[in-house]
Amino acid sequence: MTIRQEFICIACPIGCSLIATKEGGNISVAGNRCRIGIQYAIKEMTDPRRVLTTSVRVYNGGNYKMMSVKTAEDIPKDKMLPCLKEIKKLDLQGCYNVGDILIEDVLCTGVNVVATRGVVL
Amino acid sequence: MKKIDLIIIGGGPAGLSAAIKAREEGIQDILVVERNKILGGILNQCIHNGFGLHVFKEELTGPEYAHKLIERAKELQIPFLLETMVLDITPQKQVKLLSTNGVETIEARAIILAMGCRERPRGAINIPGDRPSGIFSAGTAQELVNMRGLKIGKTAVIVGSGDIGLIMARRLTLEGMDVKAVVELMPFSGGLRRNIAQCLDDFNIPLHLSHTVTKIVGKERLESIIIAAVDENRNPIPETERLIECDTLLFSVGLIPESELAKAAGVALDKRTNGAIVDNNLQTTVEGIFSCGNTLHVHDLVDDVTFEAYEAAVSAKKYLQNNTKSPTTVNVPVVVSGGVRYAVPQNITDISQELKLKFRVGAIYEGANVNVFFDNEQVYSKTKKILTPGEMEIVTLSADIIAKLQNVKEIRIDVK
Repeated sequence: MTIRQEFICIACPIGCSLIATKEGGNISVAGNRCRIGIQYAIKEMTDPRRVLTTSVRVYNGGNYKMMSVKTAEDIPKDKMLPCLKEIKKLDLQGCYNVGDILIEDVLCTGVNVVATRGVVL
Repeated sequence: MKKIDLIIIGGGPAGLSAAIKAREEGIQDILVVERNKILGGILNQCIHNGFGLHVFKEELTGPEYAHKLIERAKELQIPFLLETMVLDITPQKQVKLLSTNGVETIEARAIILAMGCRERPRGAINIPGDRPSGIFSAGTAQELVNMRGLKIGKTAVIVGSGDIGLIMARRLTLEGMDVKAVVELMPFSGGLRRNIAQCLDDFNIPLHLSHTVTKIVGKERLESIIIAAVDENRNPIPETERLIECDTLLFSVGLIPESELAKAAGVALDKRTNGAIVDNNLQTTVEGIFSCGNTLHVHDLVDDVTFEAYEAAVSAKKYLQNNTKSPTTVNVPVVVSGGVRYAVPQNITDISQELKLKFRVGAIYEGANVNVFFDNEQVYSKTKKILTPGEMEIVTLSADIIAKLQNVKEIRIDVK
């Protein structure tokens, strides 16, 4: 059986139109301009993933400040909303640096949630 | 009057990148002036990822990209003023600053303009109807949600499919809002393809191309809007009108270079870009004033802004060293034809270096030829699979080719 799927590559701003064709166990990719496109199409067909970004409140210096966060790597697409809920549960206080780990292995994805902007007094 | 070799106006990605490069090139006496409380500019509110692949060779979020620039600037001990607004620049390069310390005027030997751009507001596109609360420009909504943690509404429609509109469609969805549609006047999106894929398609948000908003309804708070398809002349087709209930409407209808200070300094502006007219040293029509980043022309990628700012810094250094206008060997205007909407730089004065000609098309072109002519001689030709108005293109002409400009009257870039 042959399965054919079309994707727009999200690896860089060019946005190549990818065509992935699955025949048996093999996936072939066309339309890519670089090797990242091949990896992206195969991943998108078998295990689609995204980096999740959002911002959270931090109690700091007597009031709340906003801190931006991300998943340090991409997570399964269907885990995005559940992970977002976990991130929103955070009750953060004090100072943070860029890269600080806020949640380890969020929802057993093997991926940490980290700060992308520091919060200082 | 206090004197400084190089004043950089704006502490966003363009200003920080210019300052870093200028210091690396050996300019000691630098001052970066920033209006906000923090450095980093608009990157601070662009919390999504996708920045930095070209400059830092890794995928970063906006705040992380800013962080890397800020850390480098601190390492280089580059002086900066925060919460300081430039009120005026004279053609003699006197810069009037307003801060909590009052007003001060500093004379610069060279200036790099790096003020960024601003959003086109609702008023600029003439949508009739009520004026209730719940209507935001996309960038304002981005600040309210990402920087202040506010909930701006429950159900939203976004007008304009530029990148900020697309990014906000995803952002509002993740924040629990119901984004009912993105409405785009043109038959194509102005945003990057990857943003349509990961911001709209991922969340099943419909994109209505060739549609516009014909009415805004609501007394205190926005209640609904009416959208309609448009014909080829962009006029609404009445029988296609339909109502969408929503309490929030975002406008993402374009960006305009921030050019007030350039104007004050007597810098000539390009009517198409709304930014300064520059030569291939990114020098404006006023000697010693350079321009880069979104204040020069609106970029899609911050990486391109950084590279352009590097160029401006190198030019400023050459200017400061020569203590005179860069050696003007020629003065050749760049003209555009065919599908090209604008090109930067607009003039070539220095034929000692390679040229990066940046341009944008006015419509979508598939399989089009990009050609560059020196008068009638074709010096560059390339077939592009696809050209869209949403994506800036760069043509690089080698120093060998540029050296031929000696007796040329004009450079023409054409897309057919």
